[in-house]
This record gives sequence, structure tokens and C-alpha cells, in this order.
Amino acid sequence: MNEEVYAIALKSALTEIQNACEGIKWSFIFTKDGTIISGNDDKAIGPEITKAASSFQSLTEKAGAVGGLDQLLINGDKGKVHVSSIDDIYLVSGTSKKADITYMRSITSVVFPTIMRVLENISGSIGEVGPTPLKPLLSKPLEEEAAEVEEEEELDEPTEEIEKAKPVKPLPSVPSQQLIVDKLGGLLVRGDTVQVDSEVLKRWSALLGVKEVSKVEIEAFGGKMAQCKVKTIKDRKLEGRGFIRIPDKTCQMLEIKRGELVRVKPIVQEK
Amino acid sequence: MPKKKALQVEVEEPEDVKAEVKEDIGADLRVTLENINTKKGVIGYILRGPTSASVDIKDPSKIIDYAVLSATTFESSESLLHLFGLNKIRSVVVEGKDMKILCLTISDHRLSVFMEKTVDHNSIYKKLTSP
Repeated sequence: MNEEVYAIALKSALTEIQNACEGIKWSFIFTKDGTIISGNDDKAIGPEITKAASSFQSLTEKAGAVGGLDQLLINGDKGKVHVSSIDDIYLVSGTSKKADITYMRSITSVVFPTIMRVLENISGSIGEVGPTPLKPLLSKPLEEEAAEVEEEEELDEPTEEIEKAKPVKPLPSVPSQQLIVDKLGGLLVRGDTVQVDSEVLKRWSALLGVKEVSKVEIEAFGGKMAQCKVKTIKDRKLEGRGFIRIPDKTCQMLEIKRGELVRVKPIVQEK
Repeated sequence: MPKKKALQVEVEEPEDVKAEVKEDIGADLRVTLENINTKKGVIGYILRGPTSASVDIKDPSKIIDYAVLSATTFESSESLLHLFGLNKIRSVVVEGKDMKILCLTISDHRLSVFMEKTVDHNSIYKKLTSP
């Protein structure tokens, strides 16, 4: 069985599932590495599908925290998206609001693996044969190493003490933000600098009418407080997640642990 | 003129009221979530408002992983719904091999409830969305 025939078989399988389950508007299959195997019509492998698969790929990576993704159901105002995992591939279907998801699940979880197995038995494993119009997605480089190098470069003058009670005043008009603590470890990490989402810093700057916020006041729920310099989170995996990355030493001083909540507010130096 | 003054007050009041209502929603949700968290099989929850957050996960070592997964779920779901013109998120159920998560947005609060696979997430959804 050549690639073209394999693609036709998968496309037919998707079309049949769509016929069997009322309400499916579109569907496609993609692998864990973001490769699209087949769509149910010619329009399916378009930029939307590519973007959707890319977006979904990041979710499958994070789903390790729950033992890997098995099923996903997104209930939107105007319809639903259902994703089911079959071995190493995902079947993604867009349905109408009233679609019977339970029925669809039973169909996809029984029929689809059977079709896949038959195809595999005929033509060998998917990986060996390389089915359809495989369309690799743009991989998102995490730039972790680059961020680490940047962090190290900034550490020419490590300061040991956390700055305390300088002539600074918290601005009452700026609301405090509760953030989840993540520890910032490593030998070369500055003990006086924490990292916060760039969005939070931008919002504070706009509210305060200043160019940038360089210091924050951290208050633990135990009552301990500290003032630290602040920079943006450099690890892309942690950006935009509502975290504050605090060096070990500061965590000890504040008597806080990873995963706890702290209240953070910007401060400006008195001139 | 008293009329003018009254008008000025009226302009300011709705914002305060709106903020209070939002705070109330957050407080109500926390109470409901604390109640849900006592249910057998519920592992914990993450509630995020515009400026506040509540986290209660039974295994604290998992908080960061769960918080990242919760945020990614909202991002990916919003992106998928937007791409296919399905409008806003009502709810998302992520079913893993070991457990599942119910994510939903209420007002401007985003909440994720983590639970064992045997727990009926529909009843939790109803508790959270019923007035």
C-alpha cells in the first residue's frame, strides 16, 4: 500500500465517522510531534488546522501532569471540539452544539482504532510507511538555553542581601497581584531579583505612568515581606502563567514554598 | 445644582458596584470550590481572578505542573475555538490517563478543578454554574 492509498483510506475513515455521527463538521488527525496525517476534506489541512494542531501540541506536552492526554472536550458558545487519543495519534473533531458526544466517543473509540490497526497490518506501522501528505508544523523553540545564558550574563555583581526598608513607597492606587511562587535556583542566580510576567509589569507601568517597574514588594500570607528588584520571566514555558520566580534565599526569608501564593505590588523609588 | 451632582454620582457608582459584584463572584466561587474540594475524588482547584488567585491542591508538589497545564488548557482551547469560529469557552474537560480536569470561565474568573476519573464532572459543573 503506497502513501496515496493510505491517505485515501484515512480520509475515507474520517468521512465515514463523520457520516455515522451527526453533527461533526470537520475533523483531522495529527501525531504527537505535530504532524498532520489526514483531513476529511480538501479544505481540512489549511492554515487553521495547522495552527490548531500547533496550539494543541503544547497542551499535549503539558498533559504529562495528568498522565498524558486521553480525551479533551471543549464546549464553546457555538459548538464543540472533541479530541480523542488513539495510541500515538489524536483525532480532532469539530461538532455542532447539539452533537451527541457520548455516541461520537463510542464510535471513534471503537471504529477508529480498528481501522488504524487494519491499515497498520496491511502496510506496516505508520512511522515506517509515512502515510499521507505529512505536513510538519513549525516547532516552537523553547529558547531555554538562550534564556539561561542571558541569566548568567547578567550576574556580574551578585548581591547577597535582600534590600530592606529603603526610602521607597508602595503606590496605594496600584492593586496588588496574587501570584504563584516558583523557585529560581542555581548558583549564579541573583538573590535580590525576582521574575514576573512581562504582561504584569507592563500593566503596572501603564497604571503608574512610569517607563518601567524595577522593584516590587512581596508579601507572604504568613506576614513576611521583602522588597526585590524585578525582571521579566525568561523561561517561555513559565511566562504568562501567573507565576513569580523567587530565588531560594528570598523564599527562605519569606518562609514560603514553591506553589504557595504571595501578594506582589510594584514600588517606586522616592526622589 | 443637586441634579447635576446626582448625575455625577450615578456615573461613578456603577463601576464600584461592578467591582463589588466581581469580588462577590470571586468570594462565592471560593466558597463553592472549598465545598467541592471536600468531595471524594476531588484533588484540588485553581481559581484565578484579574488580581487574585486561590490554589488548593492536595499534593503541593504538583501545583506548578497543574497551574501550567490549567493555563495551557485555557490558551489552547481559546485558540481552537477562535480558529473555528466557535466563540467563547463554556467549559473544557481534559481527561488524562490518571485524572481529569474541568476548566471553566465564570465572569472574569478562570477556574480549574482537578479530580479522579471516576468523579462526575457534570455535577461539579452544575454546582459551579448554578446561581
